[in-house]
Amino acid sequence: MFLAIKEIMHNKARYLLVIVTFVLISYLVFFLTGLATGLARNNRTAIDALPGNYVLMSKYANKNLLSSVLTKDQYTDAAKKGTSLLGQMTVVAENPTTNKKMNSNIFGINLDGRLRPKVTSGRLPAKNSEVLADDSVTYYGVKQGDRITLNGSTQKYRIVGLTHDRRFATVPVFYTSLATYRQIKFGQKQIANVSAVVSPKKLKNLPKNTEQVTKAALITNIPGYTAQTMTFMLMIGAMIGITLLIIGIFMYILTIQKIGMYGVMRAQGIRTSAIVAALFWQILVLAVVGVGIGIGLLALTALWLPKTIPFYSDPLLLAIITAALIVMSLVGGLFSLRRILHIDPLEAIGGE
Amino acid sequence: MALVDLKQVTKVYGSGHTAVTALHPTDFTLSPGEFATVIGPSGSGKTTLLTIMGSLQQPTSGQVLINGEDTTNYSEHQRTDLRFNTFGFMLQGSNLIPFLTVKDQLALVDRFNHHKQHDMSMDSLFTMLGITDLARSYPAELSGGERQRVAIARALYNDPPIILADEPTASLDTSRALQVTELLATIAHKMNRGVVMITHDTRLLDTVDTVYEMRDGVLQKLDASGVQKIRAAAV
Ligand SMILES: Nc1ncnc2c1ncn2[C@@H]1O[C@H](COP(=O)(O)OP(=O)(O)OP(=O)(O)O)[C@@H](O)[C@H]1O
Ligand SMILES: [Mg+2]
Repeated sequence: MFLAIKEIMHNKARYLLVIVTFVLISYLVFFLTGLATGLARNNRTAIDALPGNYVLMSKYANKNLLSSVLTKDQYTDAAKKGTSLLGQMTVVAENPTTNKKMNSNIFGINLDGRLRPKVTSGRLPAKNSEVLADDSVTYYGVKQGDRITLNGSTQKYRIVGLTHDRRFATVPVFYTSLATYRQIKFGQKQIANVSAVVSPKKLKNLPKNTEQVTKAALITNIPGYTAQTMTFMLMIGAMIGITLLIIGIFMYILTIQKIGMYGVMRAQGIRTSAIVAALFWQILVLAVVGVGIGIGLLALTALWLPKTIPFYSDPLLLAIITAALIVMSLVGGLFSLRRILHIDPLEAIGGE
Repeated sequence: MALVDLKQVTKVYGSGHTAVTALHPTDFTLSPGEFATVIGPSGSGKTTLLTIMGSLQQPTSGQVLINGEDTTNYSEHQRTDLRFNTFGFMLQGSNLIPFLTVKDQLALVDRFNHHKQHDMSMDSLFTMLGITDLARSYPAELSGGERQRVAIARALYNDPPIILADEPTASLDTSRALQVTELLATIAHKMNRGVVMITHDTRLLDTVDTVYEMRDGVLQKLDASGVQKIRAAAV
């Protein structure tokens, strides 16, 4: 630690470069992670909130909730105690006064049942012309109390309450009664179809042409979800790998420049282990400072970022990535280790 | 008992066609309180002899006894500790760590040596060498002579029984060179250390106890008339 800190303080400009590198890399990785997490959450929070891990849906739907339709015959057996009916529909909501349009979903549910979301403001719908909205609708120019049309309907629906963290396929969810959902989707309330049945327990004896999937499978089959998360994960993984290379090469170059000086230390009888310790302490200090600044910048960015950009910083994930970056840079130090282990005290002679 | 006892030590660099015999079979001893010098032309093998003595490298053949103990088969680790505890080096080239202040150069020794009491405190060493005012300076801020004096302080700080100095006066003017030589003599005579100094400069031999001459890897001890002869030759 002594040698590590003294050297950093004496060669501030040189080590500042290393710190700046850490800041840039960590900031980029954190930002990408925030976007990836935000986007993933926007795809799935409404599904995560489903009160059960098993979802019964049409077999032909290819695990895609958007395509699933269950008829009354298909769901009657499953719709017993503990399960919930869910009708999903992708809609465009419009604020008739501003003509602002917004992509969104309807989740038609039994408003007294287990699927009922937690109301964070206002109240649950009491009439078929009332809806409960995810609070992110406010980013798109509608608020509680506003009236909206759905898919160009003449009927206007009033947002009587808000809930939190209920988005599906990246857009907000409106919760309505099943009757409202059926009216909008099939044109009349009497068509008793739903999209899926949610059950906390695995169902036995599946009805004809149905399939039972887990919540996790439902999420990975949200169109685009897996492709998006994989892309981000690849980028983040590549950046973490690049950290190893950049920091490893950086420290290696610095080490090579210091061989003569290390020779002096070895001649003075300072053990190789002390030199190795100095190297890794140095990397650790530089990494912690650099990544710390990166986190600070990320916090500032999060404050300043428009709410419509999907960005979410998950502390646990940030901690894991911080650890990964630091570990990777220490691993990068191994490039130099080989050279340090082979330092000959004679290298002190003929140095500057 | 001799501090250093070299028995039939040789050194060959490289092998086959490119082999260079830097040191022919050589005997050498150094006692406590003795100030020895090795003079000789460039490339004659002086540094090679000194580095073998100081456990910086191993001889091709022969035995190196330090404090009566045969170090020839020491591991790298043992030789590192031997250097730390037994030798104070002033090498040809750099001796100081560029990012440490003069004070920290010595403080570094303490970090690896927690138990030992020093014969001379850092302050009294600095006073003796006249570098008290330089304690907070970095090596790059010092003149060649100041750097040599700091290197002496560093070499002495761990109380090594043996000081090995490779041309410590090379970058100094005559009066400074004489000062450094006198200092090394004092260290040998008053502090009872063994000191070996390599030099080109035959004017510095007044305070020296033993003079060796190295020629093409052959070491020869000079008697008083031999010393007279080389001094006369230089004038
Ligand atoms: N590491 C080495 N590898 C190969 N040959 C070497 C090495 N070190 C020294 N030599 C050779 O060994 C011989 C003696 O070198 P040495 O450094 O001991 O001379 P020196 O007397 O100290 O010279 P100078 O007064 O110039 O410092 C020279 O021919 C030199 O080229
Ligand atoms: Mg030499």
